[in-house]
Amino acid sequence: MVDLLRAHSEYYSNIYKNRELIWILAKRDLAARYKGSVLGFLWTFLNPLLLMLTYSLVFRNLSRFEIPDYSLFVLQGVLIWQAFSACVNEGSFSLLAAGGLVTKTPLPPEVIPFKVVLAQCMNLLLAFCVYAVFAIFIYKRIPYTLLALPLIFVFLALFFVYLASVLSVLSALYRDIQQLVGNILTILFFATPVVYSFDDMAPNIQNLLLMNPVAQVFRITSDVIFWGRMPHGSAIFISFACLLFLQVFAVFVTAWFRRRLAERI
Amino acid sequence: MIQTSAAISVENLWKSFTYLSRGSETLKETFLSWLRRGSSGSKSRELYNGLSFSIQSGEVVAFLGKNGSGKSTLLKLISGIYWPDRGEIRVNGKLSALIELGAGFHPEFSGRENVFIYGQVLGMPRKKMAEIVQDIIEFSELGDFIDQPVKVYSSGMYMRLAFSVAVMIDPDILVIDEILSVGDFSFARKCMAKMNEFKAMGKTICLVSHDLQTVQSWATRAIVLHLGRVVFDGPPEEAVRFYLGLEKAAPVSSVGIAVPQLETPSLFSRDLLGLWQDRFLTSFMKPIDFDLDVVGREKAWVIVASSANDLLPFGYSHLKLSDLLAKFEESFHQGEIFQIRICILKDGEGLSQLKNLLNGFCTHHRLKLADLQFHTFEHLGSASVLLPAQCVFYSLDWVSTSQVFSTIEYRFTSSSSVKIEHIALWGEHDFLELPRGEQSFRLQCDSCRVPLSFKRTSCSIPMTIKQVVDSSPLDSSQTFFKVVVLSDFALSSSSLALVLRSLQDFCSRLSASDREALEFLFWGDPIAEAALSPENSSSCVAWGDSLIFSANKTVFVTLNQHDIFLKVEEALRNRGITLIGGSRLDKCLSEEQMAVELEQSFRDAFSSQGNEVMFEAKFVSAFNDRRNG
Repeated sequence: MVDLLRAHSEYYSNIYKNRELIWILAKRDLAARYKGSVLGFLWTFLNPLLLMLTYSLVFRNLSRFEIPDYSLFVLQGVLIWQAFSACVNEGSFSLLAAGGLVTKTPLPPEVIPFKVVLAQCMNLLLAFCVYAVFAIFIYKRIPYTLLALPLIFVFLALFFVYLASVLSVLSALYRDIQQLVGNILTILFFATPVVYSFDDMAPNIQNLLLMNPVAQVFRITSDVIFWGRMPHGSAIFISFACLLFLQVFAVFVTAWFRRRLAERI
Repeated sequence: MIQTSAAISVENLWKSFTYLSRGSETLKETFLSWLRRGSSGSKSRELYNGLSFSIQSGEVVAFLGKNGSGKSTLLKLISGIYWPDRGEIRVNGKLSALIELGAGFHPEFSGRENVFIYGQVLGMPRKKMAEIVQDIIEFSELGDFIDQPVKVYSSGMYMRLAFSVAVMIDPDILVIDEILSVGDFSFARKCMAKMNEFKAMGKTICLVSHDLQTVQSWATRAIVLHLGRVVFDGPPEEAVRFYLGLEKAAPVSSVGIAVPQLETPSLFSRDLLGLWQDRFLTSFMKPIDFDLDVVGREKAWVIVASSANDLLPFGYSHLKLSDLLAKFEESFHQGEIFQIRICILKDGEGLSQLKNLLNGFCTHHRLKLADLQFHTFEHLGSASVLLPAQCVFYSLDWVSTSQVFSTIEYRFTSSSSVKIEHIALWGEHDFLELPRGEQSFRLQCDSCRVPLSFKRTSCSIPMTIKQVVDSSPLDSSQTFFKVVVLSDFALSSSSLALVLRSLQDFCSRLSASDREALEFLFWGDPIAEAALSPENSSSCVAWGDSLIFSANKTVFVTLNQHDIFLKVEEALRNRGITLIGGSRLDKCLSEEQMAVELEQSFRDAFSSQGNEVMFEAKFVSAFNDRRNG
């Protein structure tokens, strides 16, 4: 068995030793994303705007949810969802995509998902400027709980990074994971209060959603960012339990497969 | 820091790779293998089993070997990209691995940006990188291109940049895989100069290269890897010669026996094979002898002997191990590598002597005998002995030959990828009377769908009966009796004892003068010779499963077939000939067929002129046996 304590210290010391590299690689990813496109960096802001437009038009007419400033609600949900799905998608593919870095250089594999998530989080941070503009100037909806926004970001970043780590290793070993991830993300989108509110759901559906940790994370974020209220205890408990589990699992999986990873990619 | 101790030490390295049927494992397969409790469907191949060597700091070590011999993997293990299954790899000092140049380059970024990233990947802190970035750019001679995205670079420029980073970060140990000739001529020369500078500074360099010129002129030591083992470790010139010998060798069987750690110089083990074919079997025997063609596999050789005796120096086989070893030694001194796989089908006599002989040979050459596999006949069916595509069968007596054939055929046809087209025998089977004027004939065997062909070859010893007789003509004026003992080459000691006993019985019944006049003919059976010759300096023809008659006042000794013996005895008595001596074994055969066969033979024999008629009765017993169930 893997010595979890040693695995943790190895995992985090590898991350620490390569922090500069993670930073450079993340910046490179971010820069490479829009390199060669005409609008370039503007896409970071344009993407969520377009999505917000689509979702709010569709769901305002389709749904019976009574959410004030629905467009703003959808914007925050979609922004975080985008970051989440990008982390899951790219994260699960990251080790395979990194190819040469893992198979031709002695780079610890855990570095790769970190740089992917870091790039996504930087992107999310920038995209949130759009939200800020809308919230302050158009909807005038600035709850005091926004002070906790940095905490939320840290939480999300950790949640994403451990999830991406687990998926990156597993999908390097089993290519089926990627197929699964795409499908699960689609299901998850509807099983997560992104474009609707958890509180609007019937109690039996709420009970179902309680089984989805991702839904709980989005409950927290919408409570803090949009509703301006203290998140519900159940959501906090489930999210943190999930985070803790993911953390241990990520370290475990990385340590367990470390020896075989390079040759399997 | 350059340490005075070993820069790299590899101890008892084990590494195997898992080969996946479809490139990668799917979840389904994993779950299924879990259900089957660990019996995973994927195959794994051992690349190294117990590799050890150490490289002192300041050495320039070149790794040579054919493709797939594990050179690059070794470098990856040293660089820490791969992890060993067992054993230890210790590296003292900062290591820069040039497994593949530009592994971390991103095409969209400028050369300068990529230098930073690549330096980081190679383990340089950013601050230090900033200090040396200018040197790197100068060394690469890229000029204005450095601020262009690397996607516009030519492959030469790309390599130059990557190489420049790798050498300028000032490693203690440089690991280079096949990338010494970078860029154009002048740059390559510059690289060499830089490398020489490294060498002069006492840095350790490990390289894999097929550029033998460079290896010879530049390396201080070379290690030749073959099938994941160190087969040569020493001065580069000799290593190159050794390696070239290796290259010339025929492809080697994919079947191998696990080989323990070999000492230097080491070469004895796994598969004898390819080389024998090329090097001396061809001169030793005619290539036509080896005719077992298996489609879809690499060619390889396995020596299958029915008993260990056949390989011993005093054995009666025409393919004596001592001869082979002599040839082997000769070729060994020419720097070639040999692999021997010997399968002994019968245990029993001669085995320990054979082992001693091989051990002696190996000790003499400071080799380690890897593994001598002795398969008893019963194991043949399940053993992997027959998997190599080409097999040499010899010295099998009739019964076992046919059994071996059916076994082979079963094994090969049960695995769909292999087809036997043809099995050829040679050697003692020439004793079978071939149809006149024909050099070969085909024998159909009911249960064996593969045509068996028998070829008359001149390289086997005792040749045909006719030749035996010709070489020692029976002369009735001087010889009272001729004793012709015919045994087959795989004569077992028990049957030999019977022969000898019957001969002794026979002799004891002779009068003294007769005994003196008695001439023994020994041929082909040195054990019998040793037993009988001291007082009778004669020779004995040994050939079993056959009946030999000299029509007038002759001793008949036949082996193996009691029923035949009885029939012969009866037939002879009817003609006023007394049969003295005999032996029996338990193998029986279809009587009707033999009766017909024998009757015909006898009629032919006794109707011919002269009193020195010899003929043989062919036993198709084995086949008949099987036909009858």
